[in-house]
Amino acid sequence: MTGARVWGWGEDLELAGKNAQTYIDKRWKTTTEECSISISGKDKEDILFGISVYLSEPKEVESIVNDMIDIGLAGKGKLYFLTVDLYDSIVSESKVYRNDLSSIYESYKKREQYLLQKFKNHPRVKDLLNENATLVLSFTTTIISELESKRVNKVIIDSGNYELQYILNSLHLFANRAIELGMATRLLGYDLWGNVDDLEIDDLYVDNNKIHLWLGPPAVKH
Amino acid sequence: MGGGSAVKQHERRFLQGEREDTGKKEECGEAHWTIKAFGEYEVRKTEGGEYGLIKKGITIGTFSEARVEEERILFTLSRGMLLEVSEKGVREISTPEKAIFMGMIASDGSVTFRREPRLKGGYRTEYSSKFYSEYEELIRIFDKLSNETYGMTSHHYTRKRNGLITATIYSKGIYYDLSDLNLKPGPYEFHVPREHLDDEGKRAFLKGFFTGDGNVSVSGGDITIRIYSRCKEGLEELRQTLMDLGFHPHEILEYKRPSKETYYCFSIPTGEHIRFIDEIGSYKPRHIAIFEEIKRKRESGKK
Repeated sequence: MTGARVWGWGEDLELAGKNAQTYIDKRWKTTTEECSISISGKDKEDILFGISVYLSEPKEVESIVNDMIDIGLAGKGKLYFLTVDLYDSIVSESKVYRNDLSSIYESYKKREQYLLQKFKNHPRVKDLLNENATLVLSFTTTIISELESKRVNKVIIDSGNYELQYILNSLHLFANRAIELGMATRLLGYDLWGNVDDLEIDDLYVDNNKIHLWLGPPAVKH
Repeated sequence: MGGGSAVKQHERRFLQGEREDTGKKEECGEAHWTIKAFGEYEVRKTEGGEYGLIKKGITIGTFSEARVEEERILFTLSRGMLLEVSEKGVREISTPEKAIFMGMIASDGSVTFRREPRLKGGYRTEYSSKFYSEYEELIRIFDKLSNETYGMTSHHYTRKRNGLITATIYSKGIYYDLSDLNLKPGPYEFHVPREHLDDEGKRAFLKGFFTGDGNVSVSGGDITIRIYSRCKEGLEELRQTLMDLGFHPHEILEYKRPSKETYYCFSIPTGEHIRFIDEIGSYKPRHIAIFEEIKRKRESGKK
């Protein structure tokens, strides 16, 4: 695999497509079977998102990137960067996320119950919990979704933050824009991404009888 | 203009209007009196209304304006800078307006140059400092701060397909001024010029930064105040700046994404939200609306 970041926030948006096309034209070899173009950013609701398209022919890259930028900016937030990766196999075949929404809600609920049990006994929480106190959890979640496309091999969108409904709203906003622009034809399904065992306490706040606990990924080691 | 190294700029500003102690003043008999003394520095005011900065008996600077405070004196320099003289010594600090301006660029802007070949040969270099926003209100604030600091406003470009506004100031002087402060070394990087910020400047810088890259989330009725960035070093400097002001920001968390990219983020403890809103705040309309709601809820909760 070979890849590069071809555009970053602060650089001229119009250059993103040109840079991607130039990079792909230079690096595409006879052995290359597929490439991915990914854009990542943060929407106005603080949701981190990523949009990736997979294509087998290095054509119309500039137009695809311009549409990806428009999909990303539908979130009215910030685009961080655009990356391009080239592969010697069809990697998109392994990107299969086709669970329905009800199973996502169910898996999310299971995660929540698991974390409630786990953190109920955490030393910082245990002493605060009494008969009247309730533990309110917020934890980072990322949902990944697969979209069918006639224009490219596949479109993958992921969104992540602390509130499931906001995450799904964000994901659907990007998916709908992708369909509007002809990048995708329909949303095939979803999956929960990441491991909850890594989550640690980020913030703890006691308000009357409620113990609010925010769980996030591990802190950076200095 | 603002070109040259930080050292040279400092020399130019510090020795602004330098007059050797030739004794001519004494001959003219202009009266002066000491208004403050800090260690080896002395500040005199002449009967003509000027302020002289004296070090070991030698005048090292003469200024037309000064702000005398309990523990320091501030002299106005060019490009939104002040010379602060206190017991700790002498340093250049930014005005609050410039600090907000720098914070906005550090979060949602860029400081770049581009060389392009000319048709007739040689190269043309374009220096620009930019700020991006979908909010016209923020572009207006950016222009006001730029005008107050540098006497220049920006050119606006709106991306038709989504309304993102780019405010661009084409100026070599501003490019070098901000580059000397190492504000924005690359597209994903930023630094907090803490050595050039007093407490008021730190609050102002944070407000400018938060306006661009701050996040206020509402989750199940709870609020979180966070700052995300790709730049871990810059984020750590923001944490330090908050700690300088007595806040207790949480540790920086590392968010790995399905796309294998990594983001960094830290949050403000819930117990310090009101203080953050009161002392730092934001210019972003969405933030302001949520902040007002938080304060309203907390106030009604107290009653």
